[in-house]
Amino acid sequence: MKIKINKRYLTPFLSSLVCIFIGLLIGFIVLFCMSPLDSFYEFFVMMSGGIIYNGIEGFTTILAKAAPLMMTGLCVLFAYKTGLFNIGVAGQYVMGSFGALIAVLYFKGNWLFGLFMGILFGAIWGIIPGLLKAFCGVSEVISGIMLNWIALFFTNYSFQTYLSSSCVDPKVGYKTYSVTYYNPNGKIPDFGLKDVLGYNFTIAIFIAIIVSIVIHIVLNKTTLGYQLKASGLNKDATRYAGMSDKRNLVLTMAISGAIAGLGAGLYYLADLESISVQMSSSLPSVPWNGIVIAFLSQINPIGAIFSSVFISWISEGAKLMTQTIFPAEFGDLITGIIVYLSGLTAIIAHIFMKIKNRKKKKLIEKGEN
Amino acid sequence: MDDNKYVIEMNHISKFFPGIRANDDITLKIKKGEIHALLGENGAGKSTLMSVLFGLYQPEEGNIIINGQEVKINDPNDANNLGIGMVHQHFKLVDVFTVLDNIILGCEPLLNLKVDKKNVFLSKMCQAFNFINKNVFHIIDKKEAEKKVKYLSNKYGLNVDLSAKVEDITVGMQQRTEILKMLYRDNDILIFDEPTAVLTPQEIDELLKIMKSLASEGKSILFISHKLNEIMEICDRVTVLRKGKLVKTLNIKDTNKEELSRLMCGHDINFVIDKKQSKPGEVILEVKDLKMKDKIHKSKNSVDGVSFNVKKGEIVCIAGIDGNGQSELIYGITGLDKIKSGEVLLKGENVTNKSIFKRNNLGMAHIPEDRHKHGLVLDYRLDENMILENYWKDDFSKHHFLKKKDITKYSDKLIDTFDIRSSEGSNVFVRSMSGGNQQKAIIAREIDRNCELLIAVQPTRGLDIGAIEYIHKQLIKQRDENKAVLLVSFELDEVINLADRILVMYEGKITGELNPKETTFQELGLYMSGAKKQNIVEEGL
Repeated sequence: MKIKINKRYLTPFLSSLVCIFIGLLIGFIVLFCMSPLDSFYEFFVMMSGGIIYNGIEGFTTILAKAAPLMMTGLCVLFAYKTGLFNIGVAGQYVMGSFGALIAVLYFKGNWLFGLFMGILFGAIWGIIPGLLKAFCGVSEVISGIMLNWIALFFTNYSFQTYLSSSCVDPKVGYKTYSVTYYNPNGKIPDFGLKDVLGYNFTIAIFIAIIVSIVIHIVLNKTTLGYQLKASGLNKDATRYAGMSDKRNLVLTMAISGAIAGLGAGLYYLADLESISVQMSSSLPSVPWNGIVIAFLSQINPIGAIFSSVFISWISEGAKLMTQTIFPAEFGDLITGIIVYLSGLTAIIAHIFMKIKNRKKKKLIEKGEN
Repeated sequence: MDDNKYVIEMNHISKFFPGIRANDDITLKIKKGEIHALLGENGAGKSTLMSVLFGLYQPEEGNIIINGQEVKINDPNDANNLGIGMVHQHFKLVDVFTVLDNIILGCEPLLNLKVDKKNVFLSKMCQAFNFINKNVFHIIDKKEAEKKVKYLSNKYGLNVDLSAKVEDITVGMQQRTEILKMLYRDNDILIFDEPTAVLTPQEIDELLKIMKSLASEGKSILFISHKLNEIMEICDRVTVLRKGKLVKTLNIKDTNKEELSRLMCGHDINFVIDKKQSKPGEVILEVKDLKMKDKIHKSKNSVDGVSFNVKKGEIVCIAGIDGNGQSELIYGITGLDKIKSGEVLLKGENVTNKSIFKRNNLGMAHIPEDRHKHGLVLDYRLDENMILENYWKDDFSKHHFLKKKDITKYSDKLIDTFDIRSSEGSNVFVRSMSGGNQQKAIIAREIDRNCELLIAVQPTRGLDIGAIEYIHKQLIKQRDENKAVLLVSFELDEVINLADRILVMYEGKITGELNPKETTFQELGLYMSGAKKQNIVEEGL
């Protein structure tokens, strides 16, 4: 039985590995062209993900940054499983960060309340395109993109005006207050392990992994997952079977948005960064990388755990390269290449099949001869 | 007869698909300037034959000779270059383009300045411009195009407003646009694939006139149709296909409707099913004056005031040729499409505006026409497909968690009783199963739901004889277990063998109610092709 399951996941897993390998290879070639002498060492630095410099602390930073990535990846893949392309993940993430931060900074709530508010705001921002699609036939891609910008400017506006006195710290360049100092209750706890495992360590990564596993169970073991996956695979059949497609659509978008909102909570309540109120005329990169993770994981929640750690690993490592020679965006370059390639995973899987068939044919021919 | 007279000769064409001989040694010859009808039931091989002629399929055997020369047609462009044009049943037009743009699309005339030989400099400039335009700019000369199209439309009486957008004009006009498209490309061999199916009677009359005038101008026309009246009216010769084989090519003068319908449907019965006399009980399904909107032709109704009922313990069969509103009728009854007006009563309860979920639970089982579109989730396993409608019931789930073991056990039970064959039992992905076994899986699921009404649409389409016989027996068994069965079929054998009552549908209306014991294939064929009608709509059922 075990072998059978392995077989089913083997081809996607291998094609993901091939994607990563080609992505890294192209990245290395670019590095080599920019500066041949330094490239080997710098590439090694990047691949080590900062662990050689910062040790265990470097590793926990990777995990801390992987947690929100994992959530945004899950957000995208959950919607994708039901046949929706939730590009509104960025807006849901921004609204999630808004919800989480006002809960902690404005209402002075604890971290659980912060996460709850993040989930709530993300879910609301997911429901809107869901409703629009279900009842007006608006593509979730179009409304999602528009809602992304609405979310961003709504958040900017709010922090600049009516929330500025309570949430924004004018001393450090108009950023929201650091959760750690302003409201220690609002930070995701580390159970005193911070001193041992590094200042970025929180239990966020465990929350993220648990959520990934829960989503895996929901998709594969429950009647809800059964319906949602079926509507992703064949919408007409679910209508025929009497499943409520509109309800499922809105529900999917709500859950998807809620996961994105949770991801934002895990990012900002772990105090990895504060929101810069004036500078943020662009959407954060975490939700966009979620799309990478979703495709790199081959639309598998458990795969998302590994792919988010990998992406986080690469981008943390890239930051440690000698900035004068290689900019930190180098990590983004490699993830970018991997996104393109992950779009090709189906082709890679197809090539695998072809090679297999050719081998089989050869064996048959040999047998005949 | 001299061979050179033929513009098209398709000699001994055979095309095989896995498990089916779609075309088996078919010879079709068309003379210059004639209207030649291609007649046959659904699945007789007409479309395959036309796809071969159009280069979409390559035949396994046989050759094609056009204007006396053997040709190899690899794709539709080749066909176009040989002067073959086709009006498809579903028009291939760009809705937001004007009629003229649609006609010239793909072979636009380029602006070509006339060279004035007297002025050397000017003529050189003109030549240079023409050269650049031909290779770089591709500026279209619309006036030239319009002139040619206008000439053609006057010549053949094809009145269309060239500047109107396609989305704004009627279906009849759209069809004329398609015809002009062929004429504009100087096609001499014109194929019409069931052109009258989407038209109103007046439009049909005009189309037939146009086709006659085209033929008199020397164009050769291949007319694919089921409608015997139209064939008798305008065609010179007719070729009848049945089950992938050539039956006969006849002169229209030497034949009549009865003979053609007999040739089309065949009088050989594959197998006779012995069934007891039906004992109809109370009414389970009642349809009252149901109307459905036509999706292509917005002003027309695809189902136009249909009323009937189905009682316990009987099989009511809706016969008719594909595309006369049967699919839409079933969509309306099952709730897959919204209905325009009318009522559907299931076990006395009005379900007209109820959800599919409620209809299913009230006692409606449905074997859908398109098993891949509606019936199955192909990338789900067989056991997951077996619970498609019942996944939420206590047997298969507890606190919203699926009971995998019970589901597999249930699926194994169905596989056993209904003899569904698959390589890995319940664990197989449905996509990798054969069509017959996929269909058996749907039938097993629907029958085991044990509903009082079973709707089966084309349950045996594309299946081999063994599977067909099995499915027929299952349907009869359901009837004998006092279930109401509504069967939609295009196969006359099936209709006559299974039905206790036959309703014939033609152009969205029920045109006849027949008793299968008293009727004949010929009579049924006449009703199906609209040659004969009962006056039952007015009287009411």
